[in-house]
Amino acid sequence: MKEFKKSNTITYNLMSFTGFKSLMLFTLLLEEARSYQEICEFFRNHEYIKEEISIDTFRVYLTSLKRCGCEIEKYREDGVIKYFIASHPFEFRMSKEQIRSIMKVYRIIMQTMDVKGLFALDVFIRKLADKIQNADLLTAICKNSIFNRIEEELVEKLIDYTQKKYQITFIYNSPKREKVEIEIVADKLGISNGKVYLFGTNVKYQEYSYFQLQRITDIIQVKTNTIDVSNIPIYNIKYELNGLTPDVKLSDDEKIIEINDNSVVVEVTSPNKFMIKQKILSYGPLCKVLEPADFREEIIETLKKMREGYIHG
Amino acid sequence: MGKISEKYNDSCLKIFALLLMLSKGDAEYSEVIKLFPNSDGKITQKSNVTLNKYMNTIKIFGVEVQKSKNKYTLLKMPFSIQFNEKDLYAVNIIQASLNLLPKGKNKNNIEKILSNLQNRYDIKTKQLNAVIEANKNYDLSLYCKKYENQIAEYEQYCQDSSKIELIYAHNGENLKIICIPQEIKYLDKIVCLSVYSSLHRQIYDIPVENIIKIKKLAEHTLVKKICTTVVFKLKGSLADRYKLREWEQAEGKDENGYLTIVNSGEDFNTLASRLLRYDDKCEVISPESFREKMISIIDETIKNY
Repeated sequence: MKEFKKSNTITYNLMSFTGFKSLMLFTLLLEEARSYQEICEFFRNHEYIKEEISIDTFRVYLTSLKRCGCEIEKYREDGVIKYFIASHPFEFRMSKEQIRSIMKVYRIIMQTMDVKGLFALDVFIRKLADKIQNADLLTAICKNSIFNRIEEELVEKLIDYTQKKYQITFIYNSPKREKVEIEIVADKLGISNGKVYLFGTNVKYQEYSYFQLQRITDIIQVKTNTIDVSNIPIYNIKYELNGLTPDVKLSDDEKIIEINDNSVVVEVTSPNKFMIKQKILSYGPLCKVLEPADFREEIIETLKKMREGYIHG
Repeated sequence: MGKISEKYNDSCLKIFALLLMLSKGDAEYSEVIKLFPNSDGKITQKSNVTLNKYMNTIKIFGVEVQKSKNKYTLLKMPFSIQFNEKDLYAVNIIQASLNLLPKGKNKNNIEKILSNLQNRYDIKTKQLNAVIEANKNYDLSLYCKKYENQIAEYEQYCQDSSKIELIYAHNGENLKIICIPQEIKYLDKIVCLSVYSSLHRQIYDIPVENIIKIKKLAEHTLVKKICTTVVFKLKGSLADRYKLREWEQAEGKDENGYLTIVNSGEDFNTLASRLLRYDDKCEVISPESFREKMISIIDETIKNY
């Protein structure tokens, strides 16, 4: 090897010339379909090989490559047979069972990680599926992904803007009013019920809101100097949870302020009243709002309306 | 002609066998040398000379191999995949997820995928990964670690398709069901054992932490899973923006613009809790028992006040 590095000359003592040629042939047929004549021309002009091979030797090489696990296919073009490697033992293969396992991981991550992590995983799996040309993997990620029909670039931008708390204006395809311009101070991205949302303070209405990413069609303005949103209403609500499991799963904006024999009192502080209301309703009779009185009344009113819905349809 | 095409080239087989062995991870010298026996099938001094010759060949071809402590490590391969920082971030997330998976099929599969990926890192990717590894901090494991043994045990039940008797705590009571374990589910940061009860024709997602006792009843069962379907209507804007779950079907809108959804195979408690979130924009139509359950939940909640 040292001798080679010095003189840059190949000798038969130094290396397996046949092995080298088989590697070259493998690479050439992997790159594109080539004919015997094209292979010969390449070998003749190669700085180390410098000679052609006979058609019989060429066939022996092909048989050897097949024995090594390569799948070689051929077709005729303008009367010339071209050969190519359809698959080989160095390919990154993923079995259907492995795809099921990676999708299981994706679903677990969806429950345990932030949008940034899940998005990175999503993009990576799609990229890998493309690189290793695995249609099953691509189909599986498309079926499980929560980023379907959302531009990759849009998610990347929003991850950045929410981290920097920029003030952004975007076009929103609202189900009620069709396309509208909305300006918010971006706060965070979150996942709820299998959908990705952008959270932030609406500049016009001075209230905390959230928007489905699938409905954001374009970001038209980004301001690095944001308006002051410190005076938007922050809700401080206390509720009692009864008979739940020992490990009550609380969100970041919640804390237990009292532990009783069979219940806990939770305090939630958040600008997002709608989300608090949804969570409280989801607990059913296990949850009772303690304060403030107006929020408690709101919950009672909603429950009454729900009951009426079952009577009057 | 046919006879010639059956001939093969021994050097070609050897060089590919060598590359394959190296591409599977660190290769021990004692294993690599076995690829180069003499004509009697024995390893001799000449085997070393042959091995060096083949190592030179792949190096001249562009493969980078490092030998250290009797081990060969592939540094660069012509068939490597280049990964950037974002890719490696994703790979490390997958690596961290191993902490969440109990021993078994899924964990083995993920380990294999990771090993396949890492063996294809080129030298730049390896250097980049070393920097990322040093700074990574993905803690996905705290909660699941606590129940690691149970998860592993329950996953085995799922693979066996064994019928079980399960006792679990629910709203302060201990309940017992005969069921067939389906899968381990991760729902809103809670690990659940999802089981099917043929008696109730329902799926139950039972938090692992609520499971008190499991008794295996039979080795194998051949029960066809037929779940009771729940039909509900969505009203107002929710009818326009609702995202169907994998196990749901939309049956179109009626004259009032209400969207009918047919749900099959979701745990009734999870479904009830989810539908309550939709407040008066949702109404359960059938089965009657589930409609009554929803009404009773609402009534019970009103009584709280």
